[in-house]
Amino acid sequence: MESTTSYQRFPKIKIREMKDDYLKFELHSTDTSVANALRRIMLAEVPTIAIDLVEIEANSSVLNDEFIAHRLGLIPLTSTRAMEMRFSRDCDACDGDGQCEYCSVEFHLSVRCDQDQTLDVTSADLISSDPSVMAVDVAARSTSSGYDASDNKGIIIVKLRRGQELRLRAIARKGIGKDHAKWSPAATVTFMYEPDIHINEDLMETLTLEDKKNWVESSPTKVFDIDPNTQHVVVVDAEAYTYDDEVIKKAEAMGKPGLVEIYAKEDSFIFTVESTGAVKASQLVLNAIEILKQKLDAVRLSEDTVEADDQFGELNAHMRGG
Amino acid sequence: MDPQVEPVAYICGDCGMENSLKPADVIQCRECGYRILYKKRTRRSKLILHHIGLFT
Amino acid sequence: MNTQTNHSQSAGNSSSNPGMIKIEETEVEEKVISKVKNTSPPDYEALRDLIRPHIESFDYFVDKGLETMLENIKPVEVIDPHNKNKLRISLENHTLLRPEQDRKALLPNECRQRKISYAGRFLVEICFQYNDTPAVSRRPLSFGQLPIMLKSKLCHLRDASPKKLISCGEESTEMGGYFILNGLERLVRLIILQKRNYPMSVVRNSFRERQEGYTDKAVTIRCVREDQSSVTVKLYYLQNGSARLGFWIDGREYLLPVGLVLKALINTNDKEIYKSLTCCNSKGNGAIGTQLVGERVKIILDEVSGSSFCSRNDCLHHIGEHFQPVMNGMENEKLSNVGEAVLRDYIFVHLKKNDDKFNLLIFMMQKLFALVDHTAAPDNTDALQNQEVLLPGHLITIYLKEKLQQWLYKVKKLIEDEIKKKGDISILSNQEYLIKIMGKASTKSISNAIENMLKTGRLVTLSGLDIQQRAGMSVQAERLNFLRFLSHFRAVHRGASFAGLRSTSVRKLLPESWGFLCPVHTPDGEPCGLLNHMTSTCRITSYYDAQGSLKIFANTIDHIKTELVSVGMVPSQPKLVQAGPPEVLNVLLDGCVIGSISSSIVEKAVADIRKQKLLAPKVIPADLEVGYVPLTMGGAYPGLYLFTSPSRFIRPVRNICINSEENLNNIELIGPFEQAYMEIRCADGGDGGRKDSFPATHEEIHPTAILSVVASLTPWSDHNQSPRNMYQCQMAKQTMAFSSQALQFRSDQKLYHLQVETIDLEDQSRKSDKVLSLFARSNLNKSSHSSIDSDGLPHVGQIIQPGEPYCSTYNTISSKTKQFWLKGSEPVVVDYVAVDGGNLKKPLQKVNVRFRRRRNPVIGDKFSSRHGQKGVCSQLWPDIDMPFSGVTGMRPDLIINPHAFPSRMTIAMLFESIAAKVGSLHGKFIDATPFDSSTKKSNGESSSQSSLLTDELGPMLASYGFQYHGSEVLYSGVLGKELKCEIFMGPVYYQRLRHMVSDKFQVRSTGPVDQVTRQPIKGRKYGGGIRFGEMERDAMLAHGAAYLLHDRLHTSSDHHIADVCSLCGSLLTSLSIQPKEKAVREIVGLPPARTSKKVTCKVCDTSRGMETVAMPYVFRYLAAELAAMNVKMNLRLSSSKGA
Repeated sequence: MESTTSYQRFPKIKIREMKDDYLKFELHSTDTSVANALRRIMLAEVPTIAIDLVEIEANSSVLNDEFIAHRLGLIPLTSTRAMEMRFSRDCDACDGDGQCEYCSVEFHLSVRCDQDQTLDVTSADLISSDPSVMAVDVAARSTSSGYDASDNKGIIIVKLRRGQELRLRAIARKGIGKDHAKWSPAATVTFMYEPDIHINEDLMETLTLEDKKNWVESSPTKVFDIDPNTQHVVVVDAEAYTYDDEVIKKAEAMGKPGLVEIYAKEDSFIFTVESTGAVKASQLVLNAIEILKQKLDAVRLSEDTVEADDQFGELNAHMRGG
Repeated sequence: MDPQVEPVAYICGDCGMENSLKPADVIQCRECGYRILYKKRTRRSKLILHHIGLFT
Repeated sequence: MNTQTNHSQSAGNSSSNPGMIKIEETEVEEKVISKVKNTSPPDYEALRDLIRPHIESFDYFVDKGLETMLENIKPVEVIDPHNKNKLRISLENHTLLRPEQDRKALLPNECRQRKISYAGRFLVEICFQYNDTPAVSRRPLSFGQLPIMLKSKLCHLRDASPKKLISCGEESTEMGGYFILNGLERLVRLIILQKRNYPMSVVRNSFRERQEGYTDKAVTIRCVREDQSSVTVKLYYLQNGSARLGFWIDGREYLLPVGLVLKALINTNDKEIYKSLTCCNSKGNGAIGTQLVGERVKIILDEVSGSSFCSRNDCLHHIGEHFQPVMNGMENEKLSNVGEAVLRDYIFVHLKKNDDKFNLLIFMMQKLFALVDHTAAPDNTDALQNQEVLLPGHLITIYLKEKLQQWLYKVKKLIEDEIKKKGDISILSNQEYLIKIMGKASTKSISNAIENMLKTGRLVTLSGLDIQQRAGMSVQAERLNFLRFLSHFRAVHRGASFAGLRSTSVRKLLPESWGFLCPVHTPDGEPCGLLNHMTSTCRITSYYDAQGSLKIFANTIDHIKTELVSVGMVPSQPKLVQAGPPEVLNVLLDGCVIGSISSSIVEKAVADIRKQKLLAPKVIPADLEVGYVPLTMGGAYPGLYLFTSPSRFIRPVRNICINSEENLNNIELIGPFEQAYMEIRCADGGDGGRKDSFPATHEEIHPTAILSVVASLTPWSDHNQSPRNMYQCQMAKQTMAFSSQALQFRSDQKLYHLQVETIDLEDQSRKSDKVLSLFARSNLNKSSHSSIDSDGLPHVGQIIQPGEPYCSTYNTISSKTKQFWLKGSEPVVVDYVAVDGGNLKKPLQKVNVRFRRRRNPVIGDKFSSRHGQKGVCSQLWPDIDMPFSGVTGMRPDLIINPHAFPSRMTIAMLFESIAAKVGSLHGKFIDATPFDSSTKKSNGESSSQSSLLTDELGPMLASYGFQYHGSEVLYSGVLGKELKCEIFMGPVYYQRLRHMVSDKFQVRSTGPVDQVTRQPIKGRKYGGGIRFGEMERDAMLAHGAAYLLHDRLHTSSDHHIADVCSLCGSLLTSLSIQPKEKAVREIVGLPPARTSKKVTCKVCDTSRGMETVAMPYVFRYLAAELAAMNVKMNLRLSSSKGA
């Protein structure tokens, strides 16, 4: 790989586990830069829809207007439409005020408490003008797919006491996590290098069973075990290893350095993606790859043509500035 | 004073009664006589979240 | 960028963030929590206990103080010179009403909102008595509105349940203890005073300067009357062996020979006095001392008999002769009566009987001689042992007493003047008219004086009230957060007079304050050591017993006396037992020599009394202080000193001499005086290095008893470097938090409310003395998008940008409208608008507008953990750039530089982080109480094996798949590569401090300049610049940064180009002439020449030598100033080669 003139690689993805809001996959034959770019894009640049403008008509709750607006913004909305939607700042249909169907979704909320118990105002009270955009928990309840919705009361916005009222109109817009965390579709995205563990079997056999047990237990996670039949130390779960070096230190403390050698495979990553529910975890990865491709196109364009500088000037400036 | 000044709605700080006051009215609840009145919220207010220049 | 996730959570509170640390620290907190859990409606008894001294003292003022004070006010007598009719005017039967308005209860919250005072009507009956006839006619007179302390007996909120409190617009935890004055919450500062009724030997150089022949030694006693007013008496030792008794009347010290006072007090003789004074150390090795004392007594007696005063009457006569001019209202009394009055009003005023006074004086002389002979050491005035505290109710009582007394004197003078002026005989009998005259003496001034004292903290007094300071008696109770609010009530100040003192000895932390004043909770810097805080268990004795009923001191004193006699005391009725230490010890009860006890049985007697304190609190008060000072050579003067008085510090300890099997209450209340002589061991089960001959009799309940409420909230503070804990105490009080649950009903100047977003509430109260009316918009209608409603006020929920008007007023006199513009650089949201129709006749004059300002964390805002680790946010990183854990994907909210730890040694912060990590993984609370290893466990066993905390937590971390020490492998968020070091990540409680850049930043390029110097003005408010001072200049010079220096000091400051005449060297004589040819040129049509201003020198009368010179404008100003003083400044101009 090092000596070839072409650096082109053919990364492969192997999916381990897939749920609506969870995805675990392996990424092979690429390097850290690509893996981390993917992670960063998933966190900060895959667009979603979130409430960005709130017009409050009445608010006699204990929380003030800004606080409620902020809480509304943080409610994840189903954003399958987000990739096709326009950013309201680029929208030419509505002159940039961001209130047309191409770039925005309108919500209404009107709740008044007339009972003695406190009333929870939840995401379920948000009425959307677009059936494809609604709070994720409400959407999950209607489809009841995968997600345990039985004890789901909705995302609480505010609690009202008797006589208190909340009425508002909210506009949701497309945005990215870079601008505000409320637009981030990912709860967690992380990757780790696949560990490559080599036990020095000869050295290992110089240990007593007691020592072996001690050594195996020195790892806080269950990586090694002793085969009950052969009494050999075996690797049971290499991926459980957290690169904490505990076993290496233990081996040194026992006077057996080199008992085990652990390397991180530089071209192999295990990704874990948890979605907020705004887009499916699998879709999130696809969208991220799509955006990465767009970005690369932009770079290529800007390198090829000078005119492209005008078109992607902002992006270029952004990339140059870091 | 201008005759077509629109009255402003106030809520009594004690009994919660709504009072609408016009210029030169006595500041006192018509129901209970309490003298601290809170202005009632009547108009919409638009909050553009995270808009540059509003709350940065 | 993405600011929200990175830093906002770190400033969040534990309840909103489930991942945040939850640690229970202190007993106080636990108590509160358990109270909440156990009883169904929450009760905040433990909180109310903390401010009880304030309320109880005010209750005393209401229940007892007012009454006794009025009794003690001297009546005035007016004699009509025409018919010799005598009128005696006195004050009796007060009424103090609850705060009311329009015959309806006035609630505290209304006062806050309307910026008025929470005060009740104060009425006193004026008694007129003619010619000593028993017939008395009374007339009630109103003395105005007296401020009422919240939650005191006269407060509407007294005993209100939390539910009731909420309905009144208060906190559910409202504890009272403060006053509301013009809408502001103020409380009286607790100030340290000399312990009452205890003779203290003092060595002070300043005594030498009194008069010729004085030494530096004296015995001083602060005697307190029943009405809390006090007179300090000093017994000075003279070089010739005699002594003088000194006391102050109206700002002057009077000195009396002690022999004269002794003889004036009771009918006695020289032999008796001699015997009484020489009875100490009369046997054994003290015999030489006795001889010396005998010599001194001879001198003392000779002083008196030398002046041929033999009988008591002679002495009284002599005293009366000297004091008649200063004794108010005794101009016509017999001299002996005046003498008696002096003894009654100024000497040992805590005692009523002259026999007691005589005995006390003898005792004080014995103590003085012991001090002089070095058989006893002086007492330390700075030690808490000899101190008590000035309480709000007591201060008000004595201040009101003085004001009423002065008012009476004023009334007397007014009536006398009136009689003189009118020559009318009937004036005295016309009570209606007399009341009218009294009105001239402004009755309202009495309550105004009290209110002003509380408002400003200044005492306006002639006598000084025996208090060392005149200012700083009250402070504002700020509600920035609850800890700050609470700390105001727990703070004890040493006295403003010590603040300016050069010596640092008063600031020292002395062992006497153990358990009473917190060693940690004192500010650093100027008030360090002077402003202390009471520990969480420290209380102050009051006039109320545990059941809340008034104590009857006469009864308890009798009980104590009989109890003492039963354990072997010989009572001193009426004459003193003529024996002294070492055989016999004097017994003093509240500064009265009640007898003596043989030193062989005294220890048993003390133990017995202590037992009775616990067994029979009805008979022997539970807060009785049994100060047994044992016989020592050269130590404190021995004796048995008992105190029942209020205003003493007390704290609970466990008495381990009482058999616990008897299942009795063994918690004893002890004071700082007795504590110094008690054997109290720590509760760790050890003996504390004590010798067997002095076994421990008492035991601490918990080691955290030495900490104040705020100090005990630092987790594991015993693992921190001590100054860090002090810093934390300061910072806890600057934290933004939940200042109030009743936020909606408050109108404070500024309040912070911590949410995930922080919001800063500011109250803009508009008030004017001018007649102005709101509803003034009619004139404003034209201004197109003015956001003000027709009432001249903004609407609720409105966003106002800086520079926009938010309020408009109409002046009915000048018929002008005035707008108020929003200042600053932040937009605000209107939170509420309230109008106050305080006076129905006048147009609206008071309005409250509350603004919300959102304060997201930004670079430059100050944060701190709970371990004195403050810092400024230096960068807000995008979430994706933060390092992440490969396993969990977690990203830290905040990164702290590890260099913050080695020098500051805040180990507890690391503990907190590890414990919080375990606690949040495990889902349970972890106890972070300091000194936990020094406590007995519940099974009675002390945890002697002080196991390492990490040993406890490490295995738990490992069981959750973490490394033993909790460190993790993190990956760079920017590059995705592993960070090759162990990084610890864990939750830490962070505080957001109130210092924010948006309140402080100061920048300008150009802006307003000073009129005179043309230099930038100072002050952030006015858009001024920051001073670039001498030291900054020095730094620039040292760097050789000449251009930068020139830019700062000249170009960007007062750069000026002046015309200077090089011929005469004058800067000020230049005169610019308008070129006259200008017009001609225009006509001719020549191109306009360079309109160079023609400048000439007025003195030289030519423009030949004129040159332009750049200089600072102040230089020109200097030349002008000098010229004004007839000094001419000559400039010699020369151009360097290049130029």
